[in-house]
Amino acid sequence: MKVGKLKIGKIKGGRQVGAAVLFVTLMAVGALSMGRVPALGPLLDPAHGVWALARTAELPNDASAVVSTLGSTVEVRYDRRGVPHIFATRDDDAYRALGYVVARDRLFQLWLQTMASSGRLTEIAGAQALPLDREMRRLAIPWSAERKLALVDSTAPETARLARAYSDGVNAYIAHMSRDELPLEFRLLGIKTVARWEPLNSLLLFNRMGWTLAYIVPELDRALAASRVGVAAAASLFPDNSPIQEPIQPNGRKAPRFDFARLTPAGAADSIGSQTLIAALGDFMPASAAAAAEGKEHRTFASNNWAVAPRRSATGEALLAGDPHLELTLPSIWYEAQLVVPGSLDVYGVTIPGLPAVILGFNRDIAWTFTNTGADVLDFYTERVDADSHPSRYFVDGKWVPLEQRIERYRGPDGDVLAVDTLYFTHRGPLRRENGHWLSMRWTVLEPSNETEGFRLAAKARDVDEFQRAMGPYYRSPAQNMLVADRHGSIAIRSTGRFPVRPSGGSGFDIRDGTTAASDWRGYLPPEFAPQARDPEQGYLASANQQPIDPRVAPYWLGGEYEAWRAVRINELLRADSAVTVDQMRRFQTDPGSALADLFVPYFLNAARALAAHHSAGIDSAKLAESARLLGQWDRRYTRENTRAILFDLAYGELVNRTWDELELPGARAGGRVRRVVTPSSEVLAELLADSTSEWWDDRRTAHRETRDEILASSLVAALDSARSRYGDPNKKGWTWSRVRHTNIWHSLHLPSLSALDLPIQGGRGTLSPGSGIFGASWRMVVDAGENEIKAWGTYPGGQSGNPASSRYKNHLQEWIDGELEPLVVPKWIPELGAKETASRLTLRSRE
Amino acid sequence: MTPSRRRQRRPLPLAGVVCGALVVLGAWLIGWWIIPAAALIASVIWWDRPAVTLEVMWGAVGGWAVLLIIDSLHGRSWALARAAGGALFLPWGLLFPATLLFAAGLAWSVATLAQAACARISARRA
Repeated sequence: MKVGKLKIGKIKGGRQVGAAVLFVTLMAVGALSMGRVPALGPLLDPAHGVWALARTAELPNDASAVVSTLGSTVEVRYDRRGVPHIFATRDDDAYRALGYVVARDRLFQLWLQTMASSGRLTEIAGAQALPLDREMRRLAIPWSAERKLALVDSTAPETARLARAYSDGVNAYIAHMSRDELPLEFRLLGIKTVARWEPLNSLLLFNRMGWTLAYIVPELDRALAASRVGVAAAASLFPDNSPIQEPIQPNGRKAPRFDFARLTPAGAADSIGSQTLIAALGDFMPASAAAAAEGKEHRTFASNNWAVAPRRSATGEALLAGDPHLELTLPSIWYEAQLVVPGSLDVYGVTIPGLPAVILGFNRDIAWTFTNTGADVLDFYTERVDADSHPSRYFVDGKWVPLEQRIERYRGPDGDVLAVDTLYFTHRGPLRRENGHWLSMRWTVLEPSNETEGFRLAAKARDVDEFQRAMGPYYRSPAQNMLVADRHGSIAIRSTGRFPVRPSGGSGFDIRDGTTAASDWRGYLPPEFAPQARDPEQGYLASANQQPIDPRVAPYWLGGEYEAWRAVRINELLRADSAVTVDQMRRFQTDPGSALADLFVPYFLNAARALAAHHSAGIDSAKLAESARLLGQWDRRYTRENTRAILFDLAYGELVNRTWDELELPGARAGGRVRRVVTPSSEVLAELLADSTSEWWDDRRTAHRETRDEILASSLVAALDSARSRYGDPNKKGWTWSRVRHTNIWHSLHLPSLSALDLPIQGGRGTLSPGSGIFGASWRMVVDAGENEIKAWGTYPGGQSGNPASSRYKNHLQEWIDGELEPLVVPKWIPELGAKETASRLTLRSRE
Repeated sequence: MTPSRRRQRRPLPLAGVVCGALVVLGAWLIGWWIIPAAALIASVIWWDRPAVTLEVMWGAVGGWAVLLIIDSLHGRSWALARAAGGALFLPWGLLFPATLLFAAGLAWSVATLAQAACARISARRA
């Protein structure tokens, strides 16, 4: 048959079948999401799919939008770095605009953080996220946020107004956003609509920050150690005070003090008390701590800040520097912005998307920055309840008291209930049954507070006193070492937050008896007793997560986790320089020097020298000489081009493994990785180095009794073997630090193509910017607090935009890697931001 | 017949042009569904053209390519292809060809089936 020019008979049946199969297949993958792969049709559509994000990746030259609750028009100017400068005539309008611009750049981050903080990740990822959600909810993060919101609404109208204004801004953007602007991540997850923002979300975020920075359980470390080496030895491995004292509150010394004592030898394992404690606390162990104990990625929060008084600065003005170290993510945890309201507010700095506040920054009079205090602000209590399965009351001081109950439902992506938990609360906080023990928890992070008010007032402070008066009554947790400098030349620091006063001056290492109110905290340390200093004689102040106050002068116990090396190094740098410049402040932030290496390297070299004189069992003398020669060539600086730092790094790791064999888990070396129940700090290892005859040096797995020098020498030889096998010839490029030491900045969905991986950075063990793995300086800032003008420089690893297609997604990354800072543009009003400096304009109006 | 004369006799690929135009315009209204819709319309109208399936396929690809060019006028398509493509296990900018292949496959399969159906109906009527 012939129809026109087509011969029907020539259409082969096979082609039609193939077409039918292809059609069905493509329609199915086009319209339906399959597992984690979203429906491809809407995704690939160039008009409205992911490609549309290329059109919205860059800021338009001019844009306008409606935020119906605005009191008057707000002008926003984006500078060349993508920073929005918000010019408003009312404070609440400025915060509305802040909510809007943050949502415009970081909507997915806002949403995901809320889901994570509220324990609702199962709604995205299903049952696999249940452990993460349970941790959030069982720690009562959402419960506490709801209580804080009720407190703010009833007692702090100004904060409540500000929080609502911020929410209005976020919601105005969500309502105004076209479907082409829906962020990539929502599309990948198959989510088409974004829930409204609520003021509660900000409090959830504050609580999550508290969990990140203040969920510290030192009693567990000590119990874990005691379960292997006994109570007395555990107490010396995890001491109350840091063995190296270079406190935040200056103690009048011109050098660090080494409070080294002889470590108590390992004794019989404490098989009753510690095991009970571990069993009880097992599920309270932070996931990150559990991972660290297993030798996985170790948390290296390593925040620094320091300020120099005018008499020690080259400019004759107070200088301030800050670099908070956190887990690095893309987009960054921080978002830069300036808020200007003539006569009321003029603040520049970084905010955490979702928080209606500039957290770190400066105004025309002062600059401020924080490091984490790391105090122990969490205690556990054993409770007696009326029924083991479903209790309704708990026992205190001879009376039964009703338990507060809360039902938590975990839902899956389709809304189905995956699990249900009943949470119980005593007057102290959440109550849990762990391995047959009922334990309640009291934690400052969960206590009623209103940090937003502190930030609101601090943004307007005119000198260091006003700043401290603003923060003092409101800022409760997580406790921070708040450093502030003003244009009058004053510098001050105070560990700010709630520090519990325990009964009878006790420490936080014990689980207390919950059946008596006598076990309860007696209150909180008054701010005037907190570690602090103002305009000290030494002419500078510095904090780097070290023990805040010298225990010889502290009348109280703060406990917690401290690190001394960075404090030692920054104090050394500042003491050595009586005319610090802005550029030196910047260079200090990525200084490659390491106080840890300065202490440990001579021990390695001396051990090698000592053993070279006589043959020691099991140590190859030629290799020892070679490794010592190579280590001796190291200048103890972790520069990127250094080719000897790797040898020390490996030798240090070997030393840790060989020294703390008593803490190893049975069969822990089977997979090549050494696993310990817990690992003492590098400061304690330094303390041990001073005791050459300690029993801790003996490797109990060998018949021979090792000495300190043998352990050091064998570690050095093993490091050489390891370095050669992994990186080749020491004189070739394989040993270059930048090739072996990397920082990874993962996207929050852990997608490699949206992340920045294998970044070569300067720094290593004990340096001011250790930056390994997934942690690092999340924001770097230097401020020159001039009497007439404040100047500032800053950068962070990422960019302002959350859109991976945007040129602002990770445009600051290279300068961050190189340790460079950019000058921050701080106009007083719109005309000061010239056309050359203006990348984009946004006008927000209350109506069309 | 010389090659130049053969070229002169080749008809205008109307089905492809119309399909492409429909895709460019209709995508803004109904998104990716315009591909099967435009392919169906063009292949039903010109079902008796021997090369209609290929014309429609190239028309759909051309339409989406025009839209991609519009997207890339802002200069960020390559960055997007690497980022979004990587998330979909399509590294090195393979998201571009994947997008066009999706349009091509869908348009060709619709056109093939539509042409066959039209031919059968026409044959029955005849």
